[in-house]
Amino acid sequence: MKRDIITSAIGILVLTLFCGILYPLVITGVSQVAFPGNADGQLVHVNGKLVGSQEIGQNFGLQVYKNGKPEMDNGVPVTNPDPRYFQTRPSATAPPDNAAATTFSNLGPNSVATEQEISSNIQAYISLNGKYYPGGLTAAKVPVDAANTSASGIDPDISVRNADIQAHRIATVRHLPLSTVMRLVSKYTGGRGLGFSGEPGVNVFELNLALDRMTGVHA
Amino acid sequence: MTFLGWLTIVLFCVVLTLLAIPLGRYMAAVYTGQPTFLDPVFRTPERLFYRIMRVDPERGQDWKQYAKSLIIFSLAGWLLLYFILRTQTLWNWTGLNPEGFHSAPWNVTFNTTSSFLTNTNWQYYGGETTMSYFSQMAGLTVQNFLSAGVGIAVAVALIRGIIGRSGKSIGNFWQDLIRTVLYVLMPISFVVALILVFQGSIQNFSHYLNFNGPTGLANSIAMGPVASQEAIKELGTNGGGFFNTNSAHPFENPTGFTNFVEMLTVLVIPAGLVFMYGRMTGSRRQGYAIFATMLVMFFGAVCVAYIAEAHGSPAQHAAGLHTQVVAGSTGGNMEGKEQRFGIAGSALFDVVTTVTSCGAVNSAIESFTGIGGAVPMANLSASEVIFGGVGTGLYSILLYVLLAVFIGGLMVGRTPEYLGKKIEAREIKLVAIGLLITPLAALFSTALATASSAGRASISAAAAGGPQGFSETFYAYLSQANNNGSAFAAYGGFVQPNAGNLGSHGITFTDLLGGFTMLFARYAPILFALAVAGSLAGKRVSPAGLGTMRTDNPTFVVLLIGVIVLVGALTFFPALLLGPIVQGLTGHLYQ
Amino acid sequence: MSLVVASIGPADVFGLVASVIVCIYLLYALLRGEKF
Repeated sequence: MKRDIITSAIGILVLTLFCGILYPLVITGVSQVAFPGNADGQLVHVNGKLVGSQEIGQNFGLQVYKNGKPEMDNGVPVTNPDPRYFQTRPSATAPPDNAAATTFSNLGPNSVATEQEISSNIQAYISLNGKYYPGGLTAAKVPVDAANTSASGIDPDISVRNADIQAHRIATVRHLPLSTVMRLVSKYTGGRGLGFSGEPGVNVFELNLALDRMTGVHA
Repeated sequence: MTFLGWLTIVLFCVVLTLLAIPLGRYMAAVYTGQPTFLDPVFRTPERLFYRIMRVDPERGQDWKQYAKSLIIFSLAGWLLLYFILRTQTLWNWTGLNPEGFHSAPWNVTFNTTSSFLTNTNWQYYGGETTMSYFSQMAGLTVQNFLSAGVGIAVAVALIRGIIGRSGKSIGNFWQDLIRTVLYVLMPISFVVALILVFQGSIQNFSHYLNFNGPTGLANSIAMGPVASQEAIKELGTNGGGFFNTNSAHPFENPTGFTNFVEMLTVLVIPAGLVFMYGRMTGSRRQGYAIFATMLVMFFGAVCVAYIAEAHGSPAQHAAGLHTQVVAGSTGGNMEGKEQRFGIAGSALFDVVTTVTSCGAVNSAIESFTGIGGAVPMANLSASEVIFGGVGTGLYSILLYVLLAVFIGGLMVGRTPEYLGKKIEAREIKLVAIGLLITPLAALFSTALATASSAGRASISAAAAGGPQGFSETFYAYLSQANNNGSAFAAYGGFVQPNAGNLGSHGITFTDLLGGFTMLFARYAPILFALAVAGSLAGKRVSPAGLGTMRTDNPTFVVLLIGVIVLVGALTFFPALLLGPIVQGLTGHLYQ
Repeated sequence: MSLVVASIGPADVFGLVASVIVCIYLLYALLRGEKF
C-alpha cells in the first residue's frame, strides 16, 4: 500500500513533466522551426496590419449605426453583410465568426426553432443575392451550406455553388466581368484531401483579399 | 450520397486494417518483453522512470495487487488534475496563461477532472474561454496519455490472465503503464502532431489575437499549443478538444486530409490491439474473428449514418431547402457540419468517434437527423466494443466473447471453454456483472436526470418541448457512462457569461451526477475485468477436443454479433424509442 | 440527497425505488447461483 502511494505520487509528477511539459515544448519547438507560418495560424497582414488567418472564416459585414451610434444586440455589434464581399456561412458564435469563443448551433433536426433559423438564413441569402442572379432565387435553389450553420462557427469555406451564385452579385457591385470573378473563385477553391477525402471549398477570406487587390478597393 | 463519399468510407476501412496489423505485431513485442526497433530510443528513459518511481518491473502482481496500484495511481492523478484546474491563476508566472483566466467553479472542475481521468473527456466547458495553456498541457494532455495507458494496461492484463498457465501473476501495472506511454503513445503522437501542423494546425504559446478585419469589424482569434494535444486526444481515444467546437475547428482539423488522418488515429490502437491479441494468444484466427465482428458492425453503422445525413432533415425540408447532391454542393443535412468535410467526412467521423470511447466530433451530433443521431447512440448502446476505446474496447469485447462462449456452450450442451480453459460459474458471474455495470449506470443516471427537475434544468430551451430533450439527457449519461464524451452539446452543465470564468457557475446536480457516473462506470468494469483475469490466470489448459466449440470461425462471429446486439437492444430499445426513433419516424416539428 | 428526492415526482420515486429493488434481487440471484 505504502509502496503504491509513494510510486503513484512520484509517478504522477514525473509523468506530468514528461507528457505535459516536455512533450508540448518539443512539439512547439520543432513546429516553430519546421512550419513557422502554420504553427502561428497562417496569419495574413495587409499594409503591415494583421487582418486575419487563412484558416478562419471572417464576418465580412458592416457595422449598423442607429442614431449615429453603433447598434448592439446584447453587447454584440449588429452588422449587415457588405455586398462588395463574398459572405461566409451562417455562424452561431457571437459576434458571427468569433474565433475566440466557438460554438455549435445545436439546432435539432425536428425542431421549429431550426426551421425558423433556416428560413431566416434563406431569406437573408435571397435578399442579398436574388436580384443579381439570372432567374432569381427561391428556397429550392439556395445551396444547403448557405442556409445551415457551420459546425465551428468559423468555417473558412463555402461550397462552389454558393460562391458561383454570389459571384453574380460581386461582378455587378464591383464592376468586374463575371468570368473574371469566376476565375478568381476557381483559384481559391481547395481540393479534396488526397483527391477523395472531404469536399472542395472556396476560401472566402483569401478570395475577398484577392478581390481587393484586384480592384484596389478597400473597405 | 456520392461515389467519392462511399470511396472514402471503403478506403478508410482498408487503410485502417493495413495500419493495425503491423501495429499489433509491434505492440505484442512491447508487452511480451521482446526487442522492438524503438528500444535504443526508449530503453534508457524507461529504466530511468523505474528508478525514479522505485518500481521493480520484474515483480509480477496478482489481480488484486494490480488493481490496487491502478486505483491508487488514478487517485493521485485525480487529485493533481483537480489542483491544477482550481489554481489556474497560480501558474501565471509560467507565461502559459496569457489571457489570465481564473479557475472554473468546483462543480464543473469536479466533472472535468473525473472526465479526463476516466478517458471520457466530457466537457461542459469550452476550451478557449475556460482553460489556460498550462491547464491544457500539464493537466489535460497528461491525463490524455495516462488514461489511455491505464486502459491499455487492463486489456493486456486480461490477455495475460486468459493465456497464463502458471501462477497468479497478470503482469506489473507500472511496467505496463510506462511501456505504453513510451513505446506506443509518445512516438505515434509525435508523428501525428507534426502531420497536423504541416497541414495547418497551430502550435504556439501566443496571446489571443485582436485585430480589425478588412471591413473594419473587431475580431479575435484564440491561439495555443493545439497540435500536440490534438494528436493524443485522438490516439488515446480521449476526445477532449482544445477548443469548444473540437475537431470542427480549423485549427484542430484544418483539411480533408487531416480529417482522414485523425479518424485513422482514433481507431488504429483499438484495431491494433485486436491483432496483438491474436498474436499473444498464439491463435491469429482469434484476432481475425474479433476484428471481423467489429468491422462488420462498424461498416453497418457508417452506412446508416451516411444515408441518413445525406437525406436531410425535416426542418430543412420544411424550410424549402432541396437536399439532393447538385453540382458544386454536397446537399444533405449541413446543419452543424463543416464544408471541407462534407456529409461523408462528417458522418464517418462521428461514427468512428462513437464506436470507441473517443467522443471528439467534427460536426454537431445534436444537429444530426433523427436516425443519423441514433447511430452514435446505438454505438454507445453496444457498450463500445466495436473497436472501442484503447484497451477498454478489447477487454469489453473479451467479456462478451466469454459470454458468447457460455451461451454457445448452453446451446450445444457442452461445458463452455475458451482457449482451453473452462469457463465456470465464477467467471460468468463476474462477466455478467461486469457487462451490465455500464448500461445500468447509464439508464439509472438518465432516469434520475429526467425524473428530477434539478436534472431537467440542463436541457436546452429549444429541445425541452419534445423528444430531443430526452435524447439530450439520455445521450449525456450514455456517453459519460461509456466514457465517450461526445454530446448533444446544448445539454448544459456550466453557465459562463464571460470568457475567463469570472461570474460563471456550474449546475451542481448535473456536474456531480455525471462525474460519479463516469468514475463508477470506468473503474467498476476495470475491477471486474481484472478479477476475470485473476480467475483465469493459472487455470489448467485442456487441449481442444472434437466437441470443443470453435471461437475463430464465421459461426462464432455471427454468435458474437448476435450477443452484443441482443444485450444492447434489450437494455436500450425502450430508451431509444423515446428519443431518436420517434424523431426519425416523424416529419413533425416540435416547439 | 433530500434536495434531489424533493425535486422528483412521487410516481417517479416509486419507479426508481422499484427498479433498484428488482436489480438488487437479480444480483442476489446471480450470486447465489445454482443454489436457487
